[in-house]
Amino acid sequence: MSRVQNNISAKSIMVIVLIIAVLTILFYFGSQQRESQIDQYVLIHQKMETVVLLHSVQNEVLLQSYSSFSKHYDFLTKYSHQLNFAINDIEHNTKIKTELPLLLKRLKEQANDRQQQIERFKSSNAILQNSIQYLPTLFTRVLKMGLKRQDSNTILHLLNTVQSFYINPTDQEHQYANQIAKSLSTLNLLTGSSSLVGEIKLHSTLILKRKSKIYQLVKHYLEVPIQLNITAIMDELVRRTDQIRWELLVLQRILYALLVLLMLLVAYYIISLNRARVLAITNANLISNQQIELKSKEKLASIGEMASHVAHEINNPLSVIYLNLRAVKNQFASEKADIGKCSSKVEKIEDMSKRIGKIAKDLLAFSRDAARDPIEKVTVKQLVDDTLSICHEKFVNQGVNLTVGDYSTDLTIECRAIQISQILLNLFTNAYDAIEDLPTRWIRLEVEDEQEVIKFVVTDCGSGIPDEVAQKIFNPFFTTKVHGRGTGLGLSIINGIVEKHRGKFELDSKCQNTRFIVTIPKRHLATDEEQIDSKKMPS
Amino acid sequence: MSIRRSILIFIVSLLSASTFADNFLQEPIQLLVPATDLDQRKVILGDRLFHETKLSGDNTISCASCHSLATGGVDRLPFAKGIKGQVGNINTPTVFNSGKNFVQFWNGRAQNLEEQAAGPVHNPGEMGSNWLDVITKLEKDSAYLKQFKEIYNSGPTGEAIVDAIATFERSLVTLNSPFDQYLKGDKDAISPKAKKGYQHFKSLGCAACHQGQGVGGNLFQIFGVAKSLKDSKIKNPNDLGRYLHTNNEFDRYLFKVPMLRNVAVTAPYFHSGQVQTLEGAIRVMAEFQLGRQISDEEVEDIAAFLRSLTGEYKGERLK
Ligand code: HEC
Ligand code: HEC
Repeated sequence: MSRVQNNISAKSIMVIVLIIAVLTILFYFGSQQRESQIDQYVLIHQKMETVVLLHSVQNEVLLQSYSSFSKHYDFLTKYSHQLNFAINDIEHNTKIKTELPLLLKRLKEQANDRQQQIERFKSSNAILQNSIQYLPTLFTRVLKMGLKRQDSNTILHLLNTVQSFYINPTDQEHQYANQIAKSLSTLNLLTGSSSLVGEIKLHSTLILKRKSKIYQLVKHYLEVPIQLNITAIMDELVRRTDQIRWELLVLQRILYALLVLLMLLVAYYIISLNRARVLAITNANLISNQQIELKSKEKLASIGEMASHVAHEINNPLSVIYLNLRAVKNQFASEKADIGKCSSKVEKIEDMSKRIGKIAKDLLAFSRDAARDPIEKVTVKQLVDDTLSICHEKFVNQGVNLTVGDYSTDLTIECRAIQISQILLNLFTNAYDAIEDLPTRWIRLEVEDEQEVIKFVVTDCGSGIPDEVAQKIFNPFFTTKVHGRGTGLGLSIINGIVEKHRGKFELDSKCQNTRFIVTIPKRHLATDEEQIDSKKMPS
Repeated sequence: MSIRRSILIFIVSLLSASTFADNFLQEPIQLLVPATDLDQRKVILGDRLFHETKLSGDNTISCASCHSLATGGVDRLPFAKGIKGQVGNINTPTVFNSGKNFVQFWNGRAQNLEEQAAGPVHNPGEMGSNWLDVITKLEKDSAYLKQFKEIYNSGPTGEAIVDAIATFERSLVTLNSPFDQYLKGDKDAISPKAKKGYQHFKSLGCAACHQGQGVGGNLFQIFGVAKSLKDSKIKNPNDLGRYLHTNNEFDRYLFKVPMLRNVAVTAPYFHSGQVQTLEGAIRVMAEFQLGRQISDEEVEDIAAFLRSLTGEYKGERLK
């Protein structure tokens, strides 16, 4: 069941991870696109700054020429060229689909419009300048001609008017135009054939026409709302850039969030995969069934072991009983039976029977599953004696010196006595197995009274347990015993019992010999399970 | 950002000019300066292409056929002669200093040299070819292939060809004319006659149109400002000038004011090529552009001045 559940959640995690990964990629490209857009905008902005600069330089240079401060058009031509180039450059390289291209297109149109005015200005201005420069020459020529006083006065007046028309602000254009036209007509009547008069007429007309023409052109040029448009473009650029920057910020934040999420999910996924594997090992039904089976096998094994102990234990008193019974029987068969002798023998038989009875009782106690035994207060001495009575015989026979250290005989402990005996027995047996092949063999049990707890310290003459084994030693199924001899459950069962008693089971690695320490609290503290149990089943 | 820097320098120089009445700005004619930042590899390639007859349909004509650098960058004919002896209807302007022109051709229909260079190749009356043919021919030449590969990282293309030619043309700046030396401060670089001519040039008003580095080449002007040339041969009556290009009434009979640099070696004159001598051209100008009579002495002085505008190419004065 749990495995199936795991698979489902693993699958859905996979799907979520995929979705998030796709989203992440989308957001990544989104932000990349925004970044390149910003770059583009920044570039356009830089170029626009150049345009702004060139635009004002163009104005400046045009006015220089207009006020005939500048005597050539190289600068005007050069900067107009650069301005147009800069604008074209921006227009060509802008691939952004907003209102920007529209504004840029208008900018280009405006620049072209202005350019046209500039070209016309140059043409007209050249002619104007040329004629203006000719005026003083015309003056002197008129004076030299020796015309009638009135005529020369008319002409000189005309030339004066023309000159002041050129110099004065052009909004009085009409006034001058009328005056000049009048003078010209009288001139016509007067000396129409003279080439000098022809030249005067020509240049006056040219100045009149060109000056107002230029005025119109420059006015037109200055009135092209290019400045407004430039401002609009700059504003638009800043607005768009800000907007995209903001979008980028949001996108990036989301991106980071997604990345973190992704990482967490992947981490979770990996962890859950791992856990699923661990669960598969420890939790899978099949395996736990096997484990239970093994547990009972282990129990059988220890019962078998115990049976052999018990056989020993029973055999000895039985042979004593047999021998004594034979002696008593012999007495009864002879005529002169010695009652005193007999009664001592019968006493011995009784003793031995009692002993066998006790063994039977102990065996009975062992064969039960002690886990559900009630907690009882027992003396440690009784506990130790009971255990020793089961295995003492065997160790003596095998030449293992099992000794018990001194301890206070009225030391008591609250526990499941059988289970603690089981622990000790298990430890002794393990120790025996470990030292079986050594020349001198001893096992020592020490009972230490430490205020709240009692420590059972089992030491054998072995030389400790190597580290890598020590690490695995408490795992279920771990065994170093020859195959078939043990199930490896021994230590883990001890561990289980000790835990039930809220105690501690440890390997003392500091000791030169092999030493296990079992610590059991003197007063029993109920475990959670027991609490629940006791609630379920109030006694 | 070099643009910005040059603008700044310009503004600063304007300020100083207005304070100190610097001659620099007061003189209508400016010192000719060489083009900067030219890729010399392109110049070399462009030089070769400029002299390459494979650019024409029948492999007889190169740019240099009409714009021979040995004859002032012109053919010295009234009208240019194209392939198969076809005679055109307009006079050949010089390629010297053509990079200084604000637009190209008499009527300014090409914005720059790159745009211009494609013109004659495709003009059936001039070179009568097309890029495909030209490229096929050039590709057979491994030296060309190598050069193009090196510079443009491609084989010859129309774009690369005009780029190289235009770069070469920009290098054709005729520095060191006597008048430039005079502008630089060598008061004896030109004759007193030429100095007088320069004064006339300014006071008569020629400098209103012919000014700047190129002594022209930076504005359009009506040919016949003061007096109509009407049906005169000097102004080809069939040539409506810039109007042909823009269809704008304002542009009727409008022509680019030509540069007068090296004008002494580029006869015959005007877009019609109908005036053989410099003096004749000056007279035409005085009459039709200025609307005044000038004396023979003034004409000679101005001619002397114009002759002082002839510069050098590869260290030799143009002839
Ligand atoms: C057939 C003779 C001929 C050939 C060949 C020729 N040109 Fe020209 N070129 C002319 C004529 C004629 C004009 C003037 C055309 C006009 O303005 O309408 C001219 C104009 C020009 C101009 C403009 C100069 C100015 O002041 O406006 C340049 C630059 C130029 N040619 C370069 C070249 C180049 C580069 C080539 C070779 C690709 C070339 N020409 C080939 C005859 C020729
Ligand atoms: C109003 C402007 C204007 C003025 C002033 C002017 N020119 Fe010109 N000039 C032109 C134009 C436009 C042309 C080209 C005409 C054409 O061929 O279409 C030209 C062409 C010339 C040419 C022929 C160049 C060539 O390569 O064909 C010479 C030389 C010349 N001008 C000299 C002068 C002189 C000298 C003066 C002063 C006396 C003068 N110009 C004044 C506009 C002017």
